[in-house]
Amino acid sequence: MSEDPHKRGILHRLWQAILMLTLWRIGALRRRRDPPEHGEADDPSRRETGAPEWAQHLIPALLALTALTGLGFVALFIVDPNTQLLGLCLGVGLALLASALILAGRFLVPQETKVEDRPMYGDREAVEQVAEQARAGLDGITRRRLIGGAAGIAGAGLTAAVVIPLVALGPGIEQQLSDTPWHAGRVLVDDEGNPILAANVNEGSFVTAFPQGAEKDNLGSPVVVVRVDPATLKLPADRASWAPEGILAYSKICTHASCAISLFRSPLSPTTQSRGPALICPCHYSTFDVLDGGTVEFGPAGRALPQLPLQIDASGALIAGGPMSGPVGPSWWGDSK
Amino acid sequence: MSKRSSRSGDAAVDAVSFIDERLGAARGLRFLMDYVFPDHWSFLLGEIALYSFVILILTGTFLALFFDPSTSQTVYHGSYAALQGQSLSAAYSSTLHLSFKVSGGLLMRQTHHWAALVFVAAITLHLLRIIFTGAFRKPRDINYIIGLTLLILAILEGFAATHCPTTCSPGWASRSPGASRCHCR
Repeated sequence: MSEDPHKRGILHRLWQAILMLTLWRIGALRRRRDPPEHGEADDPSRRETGAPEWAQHLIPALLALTALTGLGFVALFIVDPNTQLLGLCLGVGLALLASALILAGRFLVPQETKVEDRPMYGDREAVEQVAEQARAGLDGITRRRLIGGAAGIAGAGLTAAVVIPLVALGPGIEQQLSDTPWHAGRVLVDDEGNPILAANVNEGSFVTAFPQGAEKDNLGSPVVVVRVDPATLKLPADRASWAPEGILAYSKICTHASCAISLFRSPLSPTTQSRGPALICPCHYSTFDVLDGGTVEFGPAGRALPQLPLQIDASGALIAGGPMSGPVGPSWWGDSK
Repeated sequence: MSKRSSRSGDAAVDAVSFIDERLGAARGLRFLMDYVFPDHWSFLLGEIALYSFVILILTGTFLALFFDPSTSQTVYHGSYAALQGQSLSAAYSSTLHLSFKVSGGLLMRQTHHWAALVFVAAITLHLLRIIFTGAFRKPRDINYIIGLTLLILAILEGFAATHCPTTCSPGWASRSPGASRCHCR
């Protein structure tokens, strides 16, 4: 530790020397860049010619190497089109060309500095002339507003005709969304393809069902089947016949972020007793009221869970009474219900 | 006639007059050669953006010859062993074909990708240059708004292009019941 001050002194002096050298270099560079005095100080226009010998040799060499890399690319492309080597050839070739061009720009061609005057806009006289001419064009026309308005309407109409077809560029999603495999008469089956009997769906149980014969991993396929006391149902009037014996089916895909709904709040705990059974998404706890047609009771979901109308056929199996009540899957700015 | 013969022999004059007599371009060439360009590197950022755009158009045209922007599911039978026999979107499977089968295809994809990145970066830096030199004021204000619009369009294009090969961003394509599976790999 005793030699520390001495050491620090050496380091300090070294640092000072480096700093001074650096500043001296920068100063030298700056001096070289300063424009030579050409009489008038206001006019920086100048022209310097004369290319150094080394630049006249180095630049052709760089250009020749560029050509070589280009030929190398062609050869590789024919023999072994390896992406890394192709890219390397092209990259090195472009870097060589760029350095040749930079050197040529700095050392080969004459260096010229010019001053261009800023073009001054706002010529009052010309403006007045144009305005006068425009006004003269209206001479003798009495119904200017009518004609102007008509021209505006013509423009708007044609613009609409041109712009509206652009809608075709967008995805035709609306129909895709409501187009699920469910339609009237489709049998609800379980995971293994066996029809689900109404008698096997008990109050408080939670059954996942699929349309018979359809692809199971289609977002529109899976539904959740639950049974509640028919007396407690609060379905809208137009859905009165959708829940035979109190059996209801809803899409299993949450309308918030398309997670699979896998929680059923039933039987009810004393704290939720006043609320009724609900389907809950485990991802963000969107909670859908089962009795009320799947309306959102809590959570980030923006719209009700689509409901599937149910019927019970002669054999006691559950079948769909019609298509889903709305588009399945997560909401976006186009879905409001 | 005599005028022309008196000048012939000078290579530069011959070359320029060859063009001028056919296209009347000598005046335009003079304008280009007299063009005064600011002597600071930051003024080249716009040029970088321009030439990235040219590269984007060229490579993009090449890619468009092979890319199939379709979400329909196909079973993959190509040269990439890991996905053999898998059910993929036609878009993804055409991207695999472009990358592994087409000579120079992957190079074109990568060039397009990097040109797009450089493009947006150069526009952004160019925008900073314009802001810090006050070049957004009258009489350049209209040009400034056009440039901003182009930046927004470039960002939107870049966003759309990110989703091209797989067409399965979680919030968008995967939610359509028709495209049942997501193939982000």
